[in-house]
Amino acid sequence: MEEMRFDASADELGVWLAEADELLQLLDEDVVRLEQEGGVPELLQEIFRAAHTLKGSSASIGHRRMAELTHLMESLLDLLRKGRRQVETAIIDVLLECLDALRVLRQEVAESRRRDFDLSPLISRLQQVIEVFPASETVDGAASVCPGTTAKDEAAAFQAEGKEVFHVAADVDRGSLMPAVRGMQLLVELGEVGQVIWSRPTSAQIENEDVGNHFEVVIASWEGKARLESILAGIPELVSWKITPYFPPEAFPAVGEASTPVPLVDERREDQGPQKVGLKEDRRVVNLGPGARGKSPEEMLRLAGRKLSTTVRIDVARLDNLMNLVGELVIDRTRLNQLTSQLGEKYGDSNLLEDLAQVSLHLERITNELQNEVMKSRLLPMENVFSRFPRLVRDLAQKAGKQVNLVIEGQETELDRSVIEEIGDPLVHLLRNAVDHGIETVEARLAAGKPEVGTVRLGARHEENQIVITVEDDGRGIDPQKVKSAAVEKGLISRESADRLGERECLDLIFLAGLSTAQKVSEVSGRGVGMDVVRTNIERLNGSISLDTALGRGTKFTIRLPLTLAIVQALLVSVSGQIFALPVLSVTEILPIRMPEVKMVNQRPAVQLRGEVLPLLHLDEALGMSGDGQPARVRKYAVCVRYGGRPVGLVVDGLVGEQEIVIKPLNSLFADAVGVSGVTILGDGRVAPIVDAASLVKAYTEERLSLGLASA
Amino acid sequence: MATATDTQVQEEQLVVFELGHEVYGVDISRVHEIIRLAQITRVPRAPDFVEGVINLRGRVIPVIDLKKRFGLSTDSHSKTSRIVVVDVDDNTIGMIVDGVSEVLRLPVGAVEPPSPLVVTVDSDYVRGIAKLEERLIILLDLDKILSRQQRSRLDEFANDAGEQTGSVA
Repeated sequence: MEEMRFDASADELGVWLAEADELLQLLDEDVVRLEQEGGVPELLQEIFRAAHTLKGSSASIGHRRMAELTHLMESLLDLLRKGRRQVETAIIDVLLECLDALRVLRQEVAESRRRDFDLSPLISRLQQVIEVFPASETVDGAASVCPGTTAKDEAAAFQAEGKEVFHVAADVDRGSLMPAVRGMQLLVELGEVGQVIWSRPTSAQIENEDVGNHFEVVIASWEGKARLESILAGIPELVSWKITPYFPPEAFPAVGEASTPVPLVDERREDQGPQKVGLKEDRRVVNLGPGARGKSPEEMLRLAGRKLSTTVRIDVARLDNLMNLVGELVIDRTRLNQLTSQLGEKYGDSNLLEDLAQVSLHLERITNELQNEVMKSRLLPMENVFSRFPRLVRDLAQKAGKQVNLVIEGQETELDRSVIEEIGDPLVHLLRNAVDHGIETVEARLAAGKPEVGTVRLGARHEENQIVITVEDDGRGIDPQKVKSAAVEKGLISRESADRLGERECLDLIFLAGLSTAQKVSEVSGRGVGMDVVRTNIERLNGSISLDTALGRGTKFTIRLPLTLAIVQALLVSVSGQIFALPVLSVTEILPIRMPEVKMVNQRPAVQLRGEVLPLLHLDEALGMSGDGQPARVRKYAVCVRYGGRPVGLVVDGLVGEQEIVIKPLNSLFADAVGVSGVTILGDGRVAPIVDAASLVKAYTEERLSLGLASA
Repeated sequence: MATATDTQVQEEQLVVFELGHEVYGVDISRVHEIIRLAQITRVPRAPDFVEGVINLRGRVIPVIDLKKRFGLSTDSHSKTSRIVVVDVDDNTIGMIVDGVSEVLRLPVGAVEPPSPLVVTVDSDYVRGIAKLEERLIILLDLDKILSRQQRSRLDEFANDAGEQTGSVA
């Protein structure tokens, strides 16, 4: 692979990549929406703008292939938004293909290596699609401004129509990494509210990055000066600008080139009400240096409405660090509380102690608030995961020759970013299953009297301190009998134990490794590795998954997850003289047990619980901990956790308490400490391992447990 | 890491400690601090030379028993036992030793390479032997104390994972 060099430093490339990712994601979503909603002007405008920005920024770092491709995309989009072409599947397909190609090109930038990737077939396809309608106009608009007309005449013509013509002069911060991009932004954004008559440098110069820090534009606008002002205020890195009414002077430069994106209805115009005008006019923007350009809340709102996230970017490592520090504080808070009560016991009442108690109470309150705030700052809307699914479902459905409508609900629900990162893959599996196995073909659906388009619903919501995510399809449902016979056929369970399974247990079999009920293996699912991985991943996040299904009507998977992974409510238990922590979310109930009552069922210890058999797992044995030298206890506790939808009792020596703990990862030396997901520091400074009940039970007893339970 | 070689040119500073009847030394620049034995939390299924973890001012660090690691006698820890906190690769770990005696300056000439007879496959953590006024000090190469053991652990782990890919993935 050939090495590539770009006109940008590593830092700039980082910014560039982040921006490109956002734009590509936005384009992905919007193109799929375009297919569903048709050529809505606002949507087309948004797509066009994103493609245009991408073109500008790829040109600015000197990525020629990318600039070329985006340029063609832009031409196609321009035809669409001008209504010269109608949105049709062929166009959507080619656009999506372009986005895939752009991702490859983006990767080239990330790796600074040229990929062995031939763009020419795609480019010629694009050109074909474009030339079905012979375009007389190019996007850059060089040809669309009547040649021969001078700027002066144009300005006069606009003024005659009653439009205001302004001269805009703006300076980009000298420290800016990409003045050309800002210049392009200036042209494009102004172009949305008016007709750019003249600019210096010209848009061609800007594209070639032949620019300084000063930009001048003459624009005929159907919006007032205040609107222009607010647009300028919204462009990053502009340090000063001046808008003056323009009157054609005698010697006005001839038209070089003008950029004239045809203005369309701009959704943002509505939320930019005239009441904000006064605010803007008072503004004195002087050169405050980079980073000092404060944005008013109105502008933030306006920018937020544009989907490209414009809030402060914080390095993930810094957020993690912040969370760790808060974690330390939480530990000390707990410790301080303990000390205060210990002192109280020892010295009784004293004014000093009372003061200490008060201070510690106050500290506790502040720490709690701080913890909440930091946790909130780590939350991201589910949208971050959900946004790539419309494309995924569309592609899957098309490959499978089915018609599927994806309905997404609650994508604003917020979740810790660490959980967000982990939940994507399991959801992809579930969606693939829903489209591949759940939804029927059009013929089958019609035959069953269902609407020909299948529906997959993806939803997220808060429920107490959990996130509930559901994936639901209105497809054929899962037949417990088929699952059972598949499991027997594949030798996962014996025929005898299968015969004893109830309907719910049969369905739970789909979470076993190596089971797939699909008749044929498709490209993406049906390899039988799906559902067990899904469950493992979710249980690793201290979550759970369950399913409901009705034959012929559909299947619904419900995932429950904790809000954050870093701090959890935990039950502290003692085992072999040492304290262990168990996340409360995984605990269903706790019962005292007397050891003589423990019976052996299928060579496994178990007790009776409400007439049913509760299999037990001795935690000391499972964790490989030797005894603490104490005589064997008669009274112990069974902490019940759910494993594969069924309760298992973890036998512990004693209960210590319940508290919030901060999860710290274990050193790699403990790589094979199965069943321990991390450690935490307790209030008294001791370290307690955190038990990962799911993986422990799985590692220790999976095979026997499923058989034992089957016979129960 | 490079500092070790720089100072070696003339003089080395060593933290000297005892293990059983032997005297060992490690490069002082790698030693963070020396602390008393704290309460060590055992971690299930840890390698046997790993005693557990301790809380070092909010950081959880693993503690290894050097005597177990070197296959020396494993009598229990005494009052003079200490934990020497050192940097190994990117990890901070604690090493339990019988007692820390002193900090020594050592002329480079006093260090001899270990005799090939002494160095077996599993004892390449010996960097050299220093002779100082009738005393023999075994110089440790900290990076090798963990690496071999860790490497084999990692291999084991990889094998395990290979056998149960279905459940691990």
